[in-house]
Amino acid sequence: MSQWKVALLVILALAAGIGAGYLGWGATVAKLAPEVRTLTEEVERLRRELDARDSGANAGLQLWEGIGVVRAIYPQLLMITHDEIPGLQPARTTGFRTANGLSAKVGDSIRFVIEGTAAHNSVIVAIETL
Amino acid sequence: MNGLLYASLLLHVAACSLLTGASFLLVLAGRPKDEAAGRWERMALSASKWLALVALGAGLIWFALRAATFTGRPETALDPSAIFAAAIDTWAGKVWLIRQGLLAFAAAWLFLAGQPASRADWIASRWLLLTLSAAALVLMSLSSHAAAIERQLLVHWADILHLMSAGLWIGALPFLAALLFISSRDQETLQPFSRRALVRFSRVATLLIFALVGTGILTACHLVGDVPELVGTTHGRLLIAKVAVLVPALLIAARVRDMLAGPGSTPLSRRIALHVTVEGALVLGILGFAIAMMLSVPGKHGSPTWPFPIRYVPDPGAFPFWRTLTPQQNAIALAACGLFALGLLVSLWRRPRVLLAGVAASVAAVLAVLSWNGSTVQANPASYARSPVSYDVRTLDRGRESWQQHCPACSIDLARLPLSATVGDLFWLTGEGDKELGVPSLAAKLDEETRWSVAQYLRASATAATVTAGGGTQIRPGLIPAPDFDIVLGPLQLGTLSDYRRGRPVLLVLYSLPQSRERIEQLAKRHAQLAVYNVEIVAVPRHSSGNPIAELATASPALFPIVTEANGAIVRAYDLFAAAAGHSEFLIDPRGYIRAIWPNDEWRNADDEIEALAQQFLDEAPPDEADEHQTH
Amino acid sequence: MSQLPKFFRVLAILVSALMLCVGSASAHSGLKRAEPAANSSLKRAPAEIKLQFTEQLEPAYSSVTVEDKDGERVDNDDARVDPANASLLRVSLKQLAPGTYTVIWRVLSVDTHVTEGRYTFKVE
Repeated sequence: MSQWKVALLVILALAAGIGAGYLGWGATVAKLAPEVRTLTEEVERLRRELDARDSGANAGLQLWEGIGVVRAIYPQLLMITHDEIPGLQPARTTGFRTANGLSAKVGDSIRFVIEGTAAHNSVIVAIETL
Repeated sequence: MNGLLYASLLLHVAACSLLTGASFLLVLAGRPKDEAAGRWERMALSASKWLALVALGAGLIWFALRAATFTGRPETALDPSAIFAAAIDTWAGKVWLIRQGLLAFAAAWLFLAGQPASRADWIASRWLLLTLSAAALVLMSLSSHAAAIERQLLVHWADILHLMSAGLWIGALPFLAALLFISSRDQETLQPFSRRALVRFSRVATLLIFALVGTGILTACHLVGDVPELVGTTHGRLLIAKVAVLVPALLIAARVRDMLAGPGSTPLSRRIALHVTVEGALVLGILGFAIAMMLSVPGKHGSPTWPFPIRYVPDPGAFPFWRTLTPQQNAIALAACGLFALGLLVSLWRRPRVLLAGVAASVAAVLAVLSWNGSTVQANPASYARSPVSYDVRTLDRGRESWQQHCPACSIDLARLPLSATVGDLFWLTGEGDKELGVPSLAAKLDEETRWSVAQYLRASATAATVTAGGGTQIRPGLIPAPDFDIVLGPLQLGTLSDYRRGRPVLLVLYSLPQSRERIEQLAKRHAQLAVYNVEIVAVPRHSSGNPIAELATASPALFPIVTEANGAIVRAYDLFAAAAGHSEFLIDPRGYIRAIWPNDEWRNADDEIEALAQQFLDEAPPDEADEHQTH
Repeated sequence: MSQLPKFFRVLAILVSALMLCVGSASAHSGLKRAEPAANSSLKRAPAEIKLQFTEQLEPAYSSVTVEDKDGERVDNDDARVDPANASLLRVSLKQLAPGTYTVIWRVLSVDTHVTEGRYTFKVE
């Protein structure tokens, strides 16, 4: 085969090989990344439901634990500045409904347990003053 | 070990450049037309064979030494499996593998492919060599400094273009000289084949030099940053050396063009060859400096040592247009200026008097503009040094303690410290002492870190002194950086002040009860309204009590962060700036500077001003890297 | 053909000259920010160490360990480069008792430079 044909083949093979490899790898990673993320979240949610079930809650509910400071008290609601609650929400100041019989004073540092299905649908079920 | 690393990298890059340049010149010169040209082509090809092998070998040695630094054990350099693991596991290693592969391909082609039979064969063969060697050279920029720190695409492409132009120009020059020498042995005057090659190369080289200078300035702006880093760090000084050697090389190139272009000239081949050889040697020197730059800390991340006894300080508010440019726009503007200057040089080269007059006039103009907008002050090696201790309330506390301990009787008039003094200047001052200002020499009594804390404290006090003397609540931007502190609320660590103010203004309230209760109630109600302007409020009680949050329980709850730990240090630091004993408020802009202070009762008129300033901040430039370090 | 050795002679001279003038390629400055900060004193024990560097890191050769004053490891041996931020290195910690701890780090940046360092912090 004449030289120029060989040269052309070599360049084409290189370009095709590198290009295909790069694109293929990029496509695979892009496809797998969201899958991995959703699966990890699913696993964590199931683990929390399992923990909740073990401590006597109804099926489908999860338990979260957080540390925070009470900022304001309303009937059946506490405004708390809390650290990140993994699996629920990042650090912020927000209100939580409280189960009957639970209360705290403004300024208390507390460790609290939330039970529910999501951030907007949860109730504080235990409070421990630190 | 460093010497060996440098030598192997230099050999590798030089061989790659020469290989690229040889292929480039072979393509440019065209098929050999006479016997001398044929001899030259054969010489160039046989040299390329050896260059490819040298590039492969030196590349292997360089990476083996690098792998040893990865693991920290010198024996790794002799262990093939460890070297291979290092290559597979790191990005730089993968890039190296690809490049060695391309070089191996090129070497195989050189050794195995026979003589090209037809014109198509010749074209394909030479272009294949050029593509392979250019790719092997250019891919190195994927693991360079620019790739590691810069996220902007423009800088990456500038780096690639820079490497490519450098390789083509540096590599081709020795072979060009060889062509001229070889053909000069047959006939003294320039032969058509050599002349054509020379002319073509000259034209392309002009483009290459423009590309080199433009992309060089762009990457330099991003890796070096500013003048102190340029003259004060090894990286910057190597850059200056590069440019210094470039100038005579360019002058010789211009002279060669002249010799070709003169009317009716039949220049001596040997004479041109000598010129090109010297030019080639000079640019190989530039390559040496460039490799040293690759192995040193980028100027932006180093601590510059100022070498001159004076330095230039622009007036506050000078060059307002320049300050609105982002660093990227700045770099592009500088590159454009550089290219313009180069263009002028190239076109006026033949009229030296006009050129010299032009250069003198522009230098004079620049000096005039600079002196109109600023002044020179005394400087010392530490003027632009980067403080190893961060600017926060703990540092200021430590600085104050050490200062009062070692200089209790000092009656230094802080307002006499020049406003342009940087932290580095004050560090130097505390080291050497200054009888006139009444500063003792503390170099023997304190270690360097503590002296930096003292310098930060003195600087904060000096700026505070000018502010309280000036009067009025508003402070110009860039004058007083707000000392950083941790915002701790009970058991929660909510972050630092710099976390909070990233992208939004912070209203810092130092309060004491019972005077401030009214204001806290007002702020609690207005919290949501201020949030519209993205203003966050942070409250710090002046006294340490049991439970500030419980104490502060008001009718409408205050839901902004209230600092419960280390408030003493925060209060002491911010009291430097506001002579107040009760309530004081500070508005800090998103870049980290205090823009307004309302001591005592002035908070009653503050709210409108807060909203107006918050609106103004939206129009100002966002924070950049210089603000992060906050060394002024 | 006789011009070839001349070029290599020039090259050799340049190489040796430059080997003499280039000082040691000192380590990169590296660490931009550390959480918890160097020489800081914390009320509550941190759950992890976060180190922010000036350059992007190679995960395979970047590591950080935390030791107590007796030299015992108190981290969970899971030092990793943050997937969202290539210049952030984190390691999680066991429950720390009050005392002084040393953070020892050694990182490889993407442009093949190695930096190492250490600092201490206190838990009250």
